[in-house]
Amino acid sequence: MSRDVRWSTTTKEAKALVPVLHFMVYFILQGDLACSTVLDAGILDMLLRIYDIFPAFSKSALDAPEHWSPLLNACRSTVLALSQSQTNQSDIFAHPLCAIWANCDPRPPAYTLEPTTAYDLIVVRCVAWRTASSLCIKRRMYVLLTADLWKSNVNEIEYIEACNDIVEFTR
Amino acid sequence: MNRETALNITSRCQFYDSEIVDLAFLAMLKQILLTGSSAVPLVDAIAQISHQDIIVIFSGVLRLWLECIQIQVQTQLAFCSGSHIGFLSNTGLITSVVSVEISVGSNQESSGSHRFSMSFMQVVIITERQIAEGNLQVLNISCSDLR
Repeated sequence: MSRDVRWSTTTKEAKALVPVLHFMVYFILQGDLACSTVLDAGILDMLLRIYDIFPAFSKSALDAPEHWSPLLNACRSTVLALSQSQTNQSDIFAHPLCAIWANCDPRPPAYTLEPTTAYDLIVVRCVAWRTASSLCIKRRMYVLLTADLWKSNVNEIEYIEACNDIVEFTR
Repeated sequence: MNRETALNITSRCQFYDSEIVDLAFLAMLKQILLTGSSAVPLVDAIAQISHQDIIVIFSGVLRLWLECIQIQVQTQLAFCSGSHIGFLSNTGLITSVVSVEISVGSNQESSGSHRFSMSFMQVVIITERQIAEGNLQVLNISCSDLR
């Protein structure tokens, strides 16, 4: 494995990410310009990388939910804060993170969308992966290959998404 | 699709680089071996893609599995190189892995555009008794009617 695709599953590093994201939220809420700055800095790519390694946090026998739940909440708060910027909303929802990390995505109001089927969501997810950075895709693939996603106590949707991602990455 | 080898099919990466594609096939084989027939979400995910992509996936997973066998065979033969014969199990010996062409496609498609061939490895299994009797049995791997 190359050096740039390493990830950590330690509680210590998960905890360290939370205050960083809280600082980001505070900064984003200062205004549209601050939000644009954070977006330009690559906050959405950073969140997608957290998504990639999130199963490693949430399924580690050493890490209890009280440790990784704050990280998930911090990620949600960050995306929520970003989405409140009207001028940057189109850029945010166009990013692959919003299609891939369903739990973290404050999607546009339901009444603005056409009804979607499960198949449609999968197609959107596949298209989103094709626009993601190769590093993010590589991290996701390594976690799918090495993490024990299949004996986890998480909900079924993660397993379904993992299977669809594996099939998508064969293309 | 015209006649192509499995190698050409699996190396034709549309959206992701070859390393990702290879890892995806490895992850899929791992899940199949771990979960077997209970891998319903994986089967569902495969079923939603096109027939052509399904064939590519099956050929890729099979190719990977055969490569694993080939490595096992080579390791075993290297281990037993001091003796005249090397037994993989109590019942048989895999003596060689060679490349053959196997046609894939239903009868209706035999002359159509979907018909193509893939190169697969053929595993030759010789039992101890067959060696004694001079009777060799060849295990053919058939991939017809994948649909």
